[in-house]
Amino acid sequence: MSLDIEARDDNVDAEISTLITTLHATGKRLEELTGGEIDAVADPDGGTFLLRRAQDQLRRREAVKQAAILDALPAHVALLDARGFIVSVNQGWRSFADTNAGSSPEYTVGLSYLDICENAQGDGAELAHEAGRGVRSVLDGGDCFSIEYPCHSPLEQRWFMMRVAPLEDSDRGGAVIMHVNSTERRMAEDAMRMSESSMAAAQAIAHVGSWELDLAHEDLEESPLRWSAEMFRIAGYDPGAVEISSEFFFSLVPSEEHEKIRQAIADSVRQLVPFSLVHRLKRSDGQERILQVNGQVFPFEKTGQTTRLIGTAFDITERTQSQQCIAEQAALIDEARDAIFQWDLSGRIVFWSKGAERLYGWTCDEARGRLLDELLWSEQDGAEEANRVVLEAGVRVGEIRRTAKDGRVITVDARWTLVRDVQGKPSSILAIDTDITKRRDLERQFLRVQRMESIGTLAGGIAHDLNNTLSPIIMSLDLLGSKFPDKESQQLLAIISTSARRGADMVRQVLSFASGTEGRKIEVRLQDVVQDVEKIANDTFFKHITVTTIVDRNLWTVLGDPTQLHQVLLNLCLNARDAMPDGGTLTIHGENLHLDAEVARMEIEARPGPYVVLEVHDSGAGIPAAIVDKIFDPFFTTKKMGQGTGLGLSTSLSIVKSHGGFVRVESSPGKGTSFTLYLPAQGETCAVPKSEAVNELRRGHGELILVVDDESAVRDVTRRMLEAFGYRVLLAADGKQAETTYKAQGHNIAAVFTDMMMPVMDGRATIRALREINPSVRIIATCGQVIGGSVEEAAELGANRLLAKPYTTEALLGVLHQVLS
Amino acid sequence: VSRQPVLKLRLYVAGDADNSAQAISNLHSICQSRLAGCHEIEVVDVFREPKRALSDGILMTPTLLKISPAPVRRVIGTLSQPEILLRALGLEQHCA
Repeated sequence: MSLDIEARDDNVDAEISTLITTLHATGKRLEELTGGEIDAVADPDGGTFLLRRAQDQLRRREAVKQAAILDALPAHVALLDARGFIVSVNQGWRSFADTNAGSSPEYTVGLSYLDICENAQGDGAELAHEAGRGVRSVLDGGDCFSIEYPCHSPLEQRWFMMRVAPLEDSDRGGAVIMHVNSTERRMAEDAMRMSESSMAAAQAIAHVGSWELDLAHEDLEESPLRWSAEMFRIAGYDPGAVEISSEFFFSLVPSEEHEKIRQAIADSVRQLVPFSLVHRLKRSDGQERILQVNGQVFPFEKTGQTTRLIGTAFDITERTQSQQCIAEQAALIDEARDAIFQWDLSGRIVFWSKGAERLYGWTCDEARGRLLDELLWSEQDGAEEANRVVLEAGVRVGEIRRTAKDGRVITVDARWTLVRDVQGKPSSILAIDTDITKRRDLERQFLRVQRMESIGTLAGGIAHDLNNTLSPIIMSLDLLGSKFPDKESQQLLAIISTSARRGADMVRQVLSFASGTEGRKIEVRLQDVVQDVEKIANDTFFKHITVTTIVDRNLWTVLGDPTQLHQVLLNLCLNARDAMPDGGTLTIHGENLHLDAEVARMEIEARPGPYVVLEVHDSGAGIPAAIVDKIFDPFFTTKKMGQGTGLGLSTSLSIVKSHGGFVRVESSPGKGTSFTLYLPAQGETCAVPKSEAVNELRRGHGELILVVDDESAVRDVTRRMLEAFGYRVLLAADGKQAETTYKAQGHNIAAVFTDMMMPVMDGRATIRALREINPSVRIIATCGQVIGGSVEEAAELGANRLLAKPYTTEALLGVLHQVLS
Repeated sequence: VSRQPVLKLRLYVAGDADNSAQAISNLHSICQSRLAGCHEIEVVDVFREPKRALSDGILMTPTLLKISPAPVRRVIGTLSQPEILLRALGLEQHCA
């Protein structure tokens, strides 16, 4: 209600005055009548009129109550009017003003709080100005405003929180200002912030992220997840840049690893045990990282419920990669054929590669911790000596013979390097041993072959001379035989013949060993060979050795050199004899054997087909296992110096091999030894044609033969031989003569018979010269060093046929017959 | 079992104004000391329930109304004198 004061008239004034008087009088009378014991009277319309005294009492009581409440508050409260002047303050405000009287004149009723704030100067001025702006905005109708500001006293650090709230139910406006000491909360917050930032810093430094999973939700994907700042960085995000949820986390993890993670979490929650696992995580930049995650359930402190799973995550990609790299390197080390191992300065093995296991036979478990000297004994180098050298020089390279677990002596090329620890102090020695046993063996064999070759060359030369010596003897015998038909002469001639032929055979043997060339290839009945050898054995061996032969009468024939095969068998028998110095039984066993493909496959040198098998068995001491592998080595002998050459078995083996066969040895100590020869057979026996009266068929019919040989004895005998069988002969002492003779009488000459080994102009040159005169000239070459006599060999020399020296009349006539027919 | 008839009282007050508050306090005190166990007191604030005051014909507060046993009696004031009150309510037998 508003009254227009100027417009009202005097009557109204008078009436109001009367009414007021009446009101006062009424009130006074009511008080009198009731003795002051009533508070209110009823209005006629049902309302209640509070008497003035009661109204005053109520108002006073209300004010006291409010003041008491305000005074009891631990805050400093002031009431401002609409202009910002302090209207009233509470006890807190007053006492704060009292204790800070010097510095706080603003805590006085009647002053403008706005002025105080806006005119503030000094340290807190900026905050005071801001507070002033806040107060003004509230007075102008804005919402609540609050600000925290420091208000340090000389004794302590203090913060206050100022809140300004509008006096909303007041028409006149105004505001309530409240200052609350927030030091304690602030300190707690600072402490929290400090510990959080230390934690974040620690995580950032260690690159360990942390996370917290709320387990309140049944479904893992729905469970709220929180990440630390470092956790964001590990995943390649700026902290807080993305909304974190379990679903988001799983979207970063390859789907094949989801189950593993769920399982680990489920187990950890159910059994209340910490879990630890490794999983991959796709970073925001697309790179895949490997994380090591550890987690543990933490019961909620108050209720004990398992509501939180707290864990850490650590990027172990680099570590994993380097571990992988190390593992790969280790695998490489194990792959290496070399033995790689390491021992410390006390000589104990600390590392032992797979290669070392393979080479030395000791497993890693066996080797580790053992002393080097104990494990790999070496005559040259103990660990002590090795350590000394390596410590001085840092490295040692050399060849060493070591003994493996099974007793084998292994030659190794050893490279030892000093390994230093992090401080640079020598800590151990790394050895890389390469097995060069085989290489050394090969080198030895190579040297042996070289030596053999030089022996062969030497022997070849001697053989040639010996042949030239033997040839006239052998060739003369046939002639002498017809000249001296008396029995005595014939006996002597037979002896000479046998000796000379044996001599020739011996030369052939030397040649076959030395040059390794093939022997003759004729059909040989091995039962005859066995019979011969048995006879020799029975005649020459001591009587306490019993010789038994069990030979299949229908042995197949083999294609080969009877002399060589004879030599092999005899050789084996001699060895058998020597193996039984105290007597025993020597058994020669002969049988046919058809090797099928199945059996042949088991023997590397065998081919399927018919074989004749000859076994020579002795009941001697047997061959020690250690040397059984070496018995075929050339120059290996168990006999005393001067008693054996060590060539017997190796020659035998090479002969058998040249026949396409192979040899097996079985030996058991105390039970004797068996050498078994397998020789490819012709399959069926075919009767060897006895060549007796063939000579007549091969007689010449006056054909003219040119004989070229530098040895006059050979020339002479050959001439006599040929003339005795119906040929005519021209002689030439060298190639030059032959050429001249052929030029003069070539048209009459049916064939040329020339030696290959001649001074000045050798057989090859002679043949070439003759072929120039007449390309179709028939030529037979003869040579002491050629044993096979095949057409191919002859062709290689330019001749039609090749005849080995020394030759029999029969052989010479046969060849001539072939060439001329 | 013969029980004493229940004394039903109704006190009309004007909020927590001084006389009213005094009347409430005095009434409770008298009832407890003299009328223990056989009374019911109802306090009615005329500011809150003006209609009831009107229907009971209450002109001033505080006013105490004895509703039963009959006859209805009314006492106005702070009820500071117990003897006078009891007599006014017709409860002389309870006077000391």
